[in-house]
Order: sequence, then structure tokens, then C-alpha cells
Amino acid sequence: MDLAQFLTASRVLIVAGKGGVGKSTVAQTVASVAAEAGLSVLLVRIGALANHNAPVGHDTLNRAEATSSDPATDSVKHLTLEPGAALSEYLSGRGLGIVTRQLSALGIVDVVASAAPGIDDLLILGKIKQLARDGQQDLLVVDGPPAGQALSLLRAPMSLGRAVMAGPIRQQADDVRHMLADATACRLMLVTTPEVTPVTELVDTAFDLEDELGVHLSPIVVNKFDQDTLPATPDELRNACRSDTQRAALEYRLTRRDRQVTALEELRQRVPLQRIILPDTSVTQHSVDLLRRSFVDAVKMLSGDAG
Amino acid sequence: MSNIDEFLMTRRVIVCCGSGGVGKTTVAAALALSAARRGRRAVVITIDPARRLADALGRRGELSNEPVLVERIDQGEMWAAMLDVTSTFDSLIERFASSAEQAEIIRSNVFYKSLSGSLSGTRDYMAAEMLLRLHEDPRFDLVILDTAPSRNALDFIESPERLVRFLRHPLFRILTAPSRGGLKVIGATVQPILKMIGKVVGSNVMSDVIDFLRAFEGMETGFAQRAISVSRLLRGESTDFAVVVAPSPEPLSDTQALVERLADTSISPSFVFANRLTPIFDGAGEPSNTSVHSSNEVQEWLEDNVATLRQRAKTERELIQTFIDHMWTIRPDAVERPRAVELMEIGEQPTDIHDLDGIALLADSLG
Repeated sequence: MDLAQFLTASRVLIVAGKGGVGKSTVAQTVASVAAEAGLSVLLVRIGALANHNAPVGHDTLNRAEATSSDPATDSVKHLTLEPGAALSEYLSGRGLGIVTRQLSALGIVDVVASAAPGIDDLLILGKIKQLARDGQQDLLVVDGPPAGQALSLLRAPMSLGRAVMAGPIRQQADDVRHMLADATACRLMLVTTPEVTPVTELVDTAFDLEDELGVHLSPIVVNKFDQDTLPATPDELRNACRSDTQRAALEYRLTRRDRQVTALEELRQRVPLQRIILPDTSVTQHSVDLLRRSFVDAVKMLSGDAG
Repeated sequence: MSNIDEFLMTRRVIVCCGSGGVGKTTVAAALALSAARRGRRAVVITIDPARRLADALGRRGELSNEPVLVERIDQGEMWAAMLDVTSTFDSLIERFASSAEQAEIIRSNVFYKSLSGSLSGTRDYMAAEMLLRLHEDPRFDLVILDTAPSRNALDFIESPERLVRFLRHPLFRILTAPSRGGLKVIGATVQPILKMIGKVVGSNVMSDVIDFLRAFEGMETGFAQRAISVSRLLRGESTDFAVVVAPSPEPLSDTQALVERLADTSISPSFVFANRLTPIFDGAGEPSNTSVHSSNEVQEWLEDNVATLRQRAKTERELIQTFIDHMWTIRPDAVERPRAVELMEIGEQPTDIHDLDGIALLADSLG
């Protein structure tokens, strides 16, 4: 599939996945691939999850994230949306600033936020929709919440639509629901690692999202796959071992690879979506560039109707 | 007595926290099993809607609020339960309602349904309620809670206080007791505000809330007292916190924010379980099989493999050490440095444990 076609299939791309699968790294990779392809890109993080403190070992393990000296990555614009502040901001934006501050002080905004659950989620999505509509960006990549929460985030417009009969919130819910169901407006990119538990969760989530919300799923990203080519067959490698250490390390590596293949096969059988497979950067040469190249190559391998 | 022994033998409540995807559920289950092997009657609760504990125990769909006996080892027992938010809330309503009618009115209220069904704050509080309930249950002498990876994983600990604050909020009292004296004074300022909020979120939402709060009248004392007991248990002496981490930067930085917030509330976890570490392949590299001839390419690959895995094992341990050092520096008043337990990812022990054998293996490595 043509890269440009893939990247511009929708204006919004929401990246979601279970914790630890490298969702943020993938979101960053897609954003910089798009920037490299000449698109103007906004990478949106959803606050509370986006950590602004210098994360532990940010530059030691995950070099892909840490390198920012590269022009494609640098040209990506960033924005963080804070869920907690969404309702206050929404009210302020409607000329209710002073009243909102009073309401916040009384704790009333919190009470209302709990009265209409999902209101913050809806307003976050509303903001994303508005950014997309402004048309200032070719692509918005949303570094979404973990998979389980993605479900409640994306469900918000629907459940609020049921609870709220009229008014601006209802209007917002309807608009957002439209955006989510429109393949040219929004796609959801699910990220997993090739392991049984994340794959199982992804399978459950994928079907729920599609059936319930009509969200369009892009090909699934399988991250941290050990793609290193073995120089010989496993048995030849076993026979060639010259020390117990080599043997133990080889067995460890082979077992991991087998498990990954099994998990990938499970995914292939259970979800009728194409896959973008990205390398495990902890066993090969790390670089932003490697992930980017792998991503671009994988997209080119996709068949044309992969939207 | 080793430290992990003391930990598993003396605590009454262990709260496992950490970000999603680090194997928190399986570590919680392994702790319960390990405690059972030491003769404790341990129950593990998961509040994770992804039903991962059910998966991990290979009992998908069988777990519910009612604990199920998973394993009996001599005097020790391991039980498992999965939080059902709606039924926990329902039973609280039944317990504190003055009549069956009151309970019914509340249960059929639209706002109550959304409150008990989908609100993450409710889930946090109901998990705390369930923790207290099982703590009071004479069948168990240790409750291990696997917290949900909520947006703010500590919302859970603060949830009882939040509920008390909500129940004592003036707005709540005004709405629940419209006939009380003083309404005119406060009502005059609140009414237009309510009207305005109603305009934004829809007036039916406000009226559902008001109906709910009115129906709730008289129950707030019972609820508030319960919430205070839960809060006291969470901060009690026999309650301890365990942090579960995996050696990759994304979850680690989330967890760092979490322990900082724990420190703010004067909670210092005494254990860090570092899960899924790459084992250390540190043999001397003595040639034990020199008779086999292999190509340079193969030899090079085998050596590279050892080197790569060693480097990874080293980097991971440095990450965990940095994390623990940080935990220690943010709590200068903590009595003891948090102890680290390394849980290895070994060939025979799959990364994704999804059955009882896997949990047993993990428990073995706890000692």
C-alpha cells in the first residue's frame, strides 16, 4: 500500500494499547513517519497518562523515544489534553469562566462530572474533533489511553448520548459519534506485543470497539517482535554452542521467539485485520530510524484495502 | 526469617500497585499462593475489568465477588475473587436502606445505574469496600488486592475520603433535604447554578441526580461510616503496599508518578517486585564442546546473543535500581529502604502467565 495513502486515509489516528506494549513509541513513530513524508502532524497526548517528569531510564532502554535531534521527529508538533480540566475548560470557553471558577471551588464541577460520567472523555474527544476540523494539520496522531480505558473513552459519546437528551453536551456527543464512525475522519490503531495476554485483550477490545461503536480499525501494530534472522536452524545452533552460557542464552532466545510466533499466529487467526510488525529494539540495533524504516516497509507490504 | 517471609506471614492486607501490563495480577496471585504455602488463608481480589486474574487462573468466567477456593496446601488456602462493582454497590444500598422500597427506588434510578455501572471512581471505592468486607470475613487472614490501572492509580486509596467529602458536600445536603431550614439562603445562590449546569449537560441529567440524592436520604451516615473504616484499614499497621514494575521505560515512568503520589499520602511500599527481568547469563564461557565445527557466522551470532542479553539484563537492573533509589529519596522519613525482589523471565516460565502452573512457578521464585 502507498505510504501517503495510508497516512492520509483519515485525519485522526488514535493509537491504543495495553500498558507496556510501547503504544507511545508507536504513536511517535507514526507521527515522525508522517512528518518525514511531508505532512504536518500533531501528536496529541492525553494528560495524566502523559508523564512530564523525566521518566526513569527514558534514555537508557528506549532510545527510540529519547532521540530528538532528528529533523522528522522535531517537526512533529505536540499537544497534551488534560482530562480533569476538560469540563472547566469547556464551560470557560462558553463565557462561563468566572462562574466555573466558583463552581470548581465549591466542588460542584466534580459533582457534575460524576453525575454525567464520561463527560471529560467526551470533551477530550470533542477537542480532538475540533482540532481535526480546523484543518491546520494533515494528521492528528492521538497517543491514547491503555486499551481498557480506550474502550471507556470511546464509549463516552454513546453512553452520554443515551443519558443526556438535549443541550450542547448532547450535540457534542452526536458530533463525536459521527467522527468515530466515519472512516475518513478517524481510525483506531491497536498496538500489541506478540504475547498471549496482550493479544487476548486486543482480540476482546477490537471486536467490542467495532461492533459497539463502529470505529474503523487500521492494521494492528505488533511491536517488539524478535525479527532477527537466525544464521542456521535451531538445532544447528544448539550443536554449535561452545559453552553452557551460550546454550542457556540460545535456549532463552529460542523459547521467546517460539512464544512470539505462537501469539502472532493466534492474532492472525482471531482478528481479520492486517498487521504491521515492528522489531524488538532491545535485541537489535536501536534507533528511531530502524522503527521508522520498519514501519514504512510494513505499510508498503499491506494490501490496498487496508484503510 | 527472610524478609519476604515476614512480609507474607505478618501482613493482613497487601495492596499491589503498578501500571498496567507489568504482570501485576499474576504477581498478586503468586503472592497469595506463596502466602498459602506458608499456611495463611489468603484471598486475592482483582478489580481489573479485563478479567486478567480469571485468565491467569485459567478460570475465565468463574470468578465473581464471591471468593472461590483455588488451592489448599495443608493449613493454607488460596482464594480468588473478582470485583463486581454493580453487585457490591447494590449490596451496600440494601445494607443501609431503611426499607426495601428505598433500595428499589435507588436501584432503578438512571443516575444510579450509570454511577454503579461505568464510573471509575465508583469502581475504586467499591474495590476498597470489597477489601474491607473480605478483611472482616473470618475465612481469611490475608487479603491481597490487585488494583486497577486507573488513570490515577491512587484514586483508589483516596476514594473513601472522596465519598465522605461528597456525602458531606453542602450541595448534597441541600438537594437531599429541600425542606430543611436555610434552604432559602443557600438555595438562592445554588438554584441558578444548577439551572445553568442543567443547560449544559441536559436538564434530565440534573433531575436524575436530584432524584437519586433524595432517594439516598438517610443512608449517607452509614455510607460515610463505612468509608471511614475503609480508609482506616488502608492506612492501618497491618496493611502494606507492594509495587510491581517491569523493566521498560513507559510503565516505569507511570509507576514513578504513582509512588510519588503514595509518598505524598505518607505511604511507603516496603516491596518492589521487579517482574519479567532478563536472566543473567554469566557463565565463565568455558568451552565445553570444542569438537563441533561451526561457521564463524554462527559462532559470532551465538556470542552476540549472549552479549545482547547480558547488556539487556544489565540495563534492566540499572533501570530498576534507579527507580528504587528514587523511591528512597522521595521518602527520607521512611523507616526502611524498599526491598527489591527480582522475578526472572526464564525459558520455562512464559512471559505471559495464564495458568495456575505459571503462577506456581512465579511463587517458587518468591521463595
